[in-house]
Parts: sequence; structure tokens; C-alpha cells
Amino acid sequence: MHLYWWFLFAQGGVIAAILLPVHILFQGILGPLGIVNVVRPDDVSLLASPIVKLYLLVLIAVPFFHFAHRLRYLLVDLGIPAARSVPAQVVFYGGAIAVTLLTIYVLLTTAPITF
Amino acid sequence: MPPNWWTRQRHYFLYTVREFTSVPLAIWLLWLLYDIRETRLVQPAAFAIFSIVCLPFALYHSWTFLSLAGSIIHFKVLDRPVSARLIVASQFALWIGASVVIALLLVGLAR
Amino acid sequence: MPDKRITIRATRYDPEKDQAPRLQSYDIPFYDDSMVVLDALNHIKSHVDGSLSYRWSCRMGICGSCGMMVNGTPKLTCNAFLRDYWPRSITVQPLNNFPVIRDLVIDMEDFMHKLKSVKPWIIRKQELPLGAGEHHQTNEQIDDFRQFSECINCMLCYAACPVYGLNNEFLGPAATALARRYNLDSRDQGLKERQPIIGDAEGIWECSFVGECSVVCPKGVDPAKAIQQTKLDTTMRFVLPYGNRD
Repeated sequence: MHLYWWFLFAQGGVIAAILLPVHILFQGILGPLGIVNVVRPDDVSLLASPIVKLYLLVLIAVPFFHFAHRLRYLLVDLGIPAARSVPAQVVFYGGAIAVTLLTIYVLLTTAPITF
Repeated sequence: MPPNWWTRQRHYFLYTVREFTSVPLAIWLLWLLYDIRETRLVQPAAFAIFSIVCLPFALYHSWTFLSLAGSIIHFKVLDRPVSARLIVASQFALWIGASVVIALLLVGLAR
Repeated sequence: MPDKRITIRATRYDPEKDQAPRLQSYDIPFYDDSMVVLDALNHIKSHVDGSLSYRWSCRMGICGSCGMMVNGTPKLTCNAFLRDYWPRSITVQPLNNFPVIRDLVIDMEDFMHKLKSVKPWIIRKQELPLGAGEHHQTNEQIDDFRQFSECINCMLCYAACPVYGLNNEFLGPAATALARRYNLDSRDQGLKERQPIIGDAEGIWECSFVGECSVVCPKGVDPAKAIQQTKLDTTMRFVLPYGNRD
């Protein structure tokens, strides 16, 4: 199992490392402060596109496997060996799976794809 | 090992910071997901302030993750191993390239 | 010119007499700029206090015996020059994360056990018959594993690793680097045999890439790199069953 978690951790890390900073800078800072006119997260016309939905799914959900893995081991480092246990794995990776499902739900129900 | 082992040495402390970057970034993405769902931006000033806090963490995460990629990724071209420095450089080039492309899209597709 | 002197504070602990380890100060002459901490310890043992116990052998950074904590950092005491610390005092303590037998001597049984568990020798499915001659290996093939073969089993990496400090079951840097050294050796066919130990929950997966092991390694083995590459190779072997069999 550790192999799969590590693989997802690595993928999530790449996504977070490469994509997140620019989104934070533009959609988190420059846009909300009105410095640059930036795509708003709730832009329905863009959200209706399946390509945008897929991109957002990757951007939001995959890094959570990275975060789950890192946070679990951070707890181990901070002196909580129970974080190594199977129940802890269920909580953390289950949490990442839950976020993935939540993201899919939000993306499908917000500006649904019309055929 | 004392529970504060990670405060005893600069390298251990920076490692813990690196691991901790997961927390603000996770919250930021959940906030983004929330903003996708809600048809009005919730308190743009609050999101901006939170994002300003998150950005250094995101940059530190990217910097450390991509730098270490050179250590992990290894392959040979024509029987000679590709140097770690070249691999790291390619990761950073990919980061900058992708960021430029996405920035252009985020500004260009704005209404 | 007045003689230079330096203070060495060394851990003293006799389990039959002492409740807990304590530091004892020794003020010794710093008579030569090439002196290392091991020379200081030898001076103490020869001229000041013969009861001080510690391990050493080659005094030239190849046997791996003299690893100790020097001012909080794991170092080979034969490789720690007094001139880099003088005039400040030097605190010498037994290697972190290992049980202390006495003074500066640690119990390395756990490491020896882990080392043996990764089968650090050439494993062949079938030995070449004598008539076939020696195994041929190009320089490039040796380069594949050369770096990881430099390990002198000094255990500084285990002293530096916080994961090992928190969990003694962790396989650890040197053992994994040596497993990789053999897995990458073109003469070796033992990868499958080593896999259960390496791929175990307490094997490579416990490592969170702190990287301190590679920082303290006196021979430039880069065990952190060995572990991460093993994680990648193990994963790739699973994901692409027919490709990238490293």
C-alpha cells in the first residue's frame, strides 16, 4: 500500500509545485485586490467546459494525496507514532479520497455540462 | 529523542517547515473549491490576505520539491547518466513555463 | 609563545556505577594544527585518564569505527580537526540513536542486523562455472553503483536520521544504500530477494527525505538519494511491469 500512497504523494507534489503558485498569485492575490483582471473561480461560462473541469479536478484533488501523506508523517515526526497505523492511513488517505469526490461533485453540479 | 528535536538544528527546522507547507496549501485549495461553488466571491479582501500568507509557503514547497527531484529522477541518454543539475533545471523550466502559460490564460480568459 | 590548550568535554558513563551519563572536562595541549578530536581522545587516554572508552582504528576515515557526536553533529573523530573548533571547547558524546554501552561506545547490534538483512553480497541465480572466467564489467557499469559502494558503515547517517531516532524499526540510510549498491551491480541477480526487506512498511517508505544522512556522510555516499531512487524504481516496477527494470 505504501507504494501507492508514495506514488500519489509524488504526483500530487508535482502538481502542487508547478501549478499552485501561479494560481495563488493571480486568483488569490492580484485578482481579488483588483490589480489585474483575472478569471474568477466562479466564472460559470468557463466552468461549463469539461476541459476546465478536468484541469480543476487535477489541480485541487491530486495535491491532497500529497498533503495527506506529508501531514501523516509530520505527525509521526512530532511524536505521534499512532499516525503510522492503518486507522490513521484510512483517515488521511480517506480524507484525500473524500476531497476528490467532493471536488468531482462540485465540478459536476456547478455549471453542469450540457450535451 | 526529545519531542522538540526539530528545533535543535536549522536543517531539521527547515525540513519541518517544508512538511508544514501542506497545511496552508490544503486550506487554500478548499477555499478555491468553495469559491467555485458560491456564485459570489466571499470576502475578497480576506482571501487576498490569506493568499499573501500562503504564497511564500507555496513557493518554498515548489522550490524544495523541484530541487530534490534531481536527486530522485535518474535516467540515461545514450548510455550516459543525465546530470542531476540538468534534471533540476528542467523541472524549474517546466515550472516557469507552465506558470507563464497559466498566467496568460487566467488573464486572457477573464471577463 | 604560550602553549595552546583546548578543552574536551567527553561523556562518561559506567552502567555499573553511574545513574546517568555525565560530561567530564579535560584540558589538553593543542600542540599541532593537524590534531583531530581522535588525537585529543588518545591524548586523554594515554596521559590524563586511562579509563575513557571509545572505538577507533585507522585514524584516516576509512574504517568507520570512530563515529561520535562532536558538538552535536555526528562526525568521524579522525575527521574533526581541533583547529575548526578552537578556542571553543569541544563536546564529544556517543553517537545518537544508539544505546550506550559505556562512555563513548555504542551498541551497534541493530545496525549490524539491518545490514545483514539486505544481503549485501552478490547474489546469483546460478554461479558461473569456473571455466567461464570472471564476470566482465565495464567502467560504466561500475559507475552505476560506485557512489553507493563507498559506504564504510560508520553509522553517522543513523545518528543524523530523525526517522530512525523516532522509530528504531526503520531500515535506515546505510542499509538501503548498500542494498541499492548490489541491486545496481550488473553481476547481481538478487533484487527479488532483497525486495521484501526494502519494500516493507519499515523499509524505504518510512523515509521522509529529511536528507540529513547525506549531509553527514563522510564518504559522499548520498544515502538519501539511494532511498528516493529506490522508492521511484520500486514504484515504476509496479506501474510498468515490463519496463524500467533497474
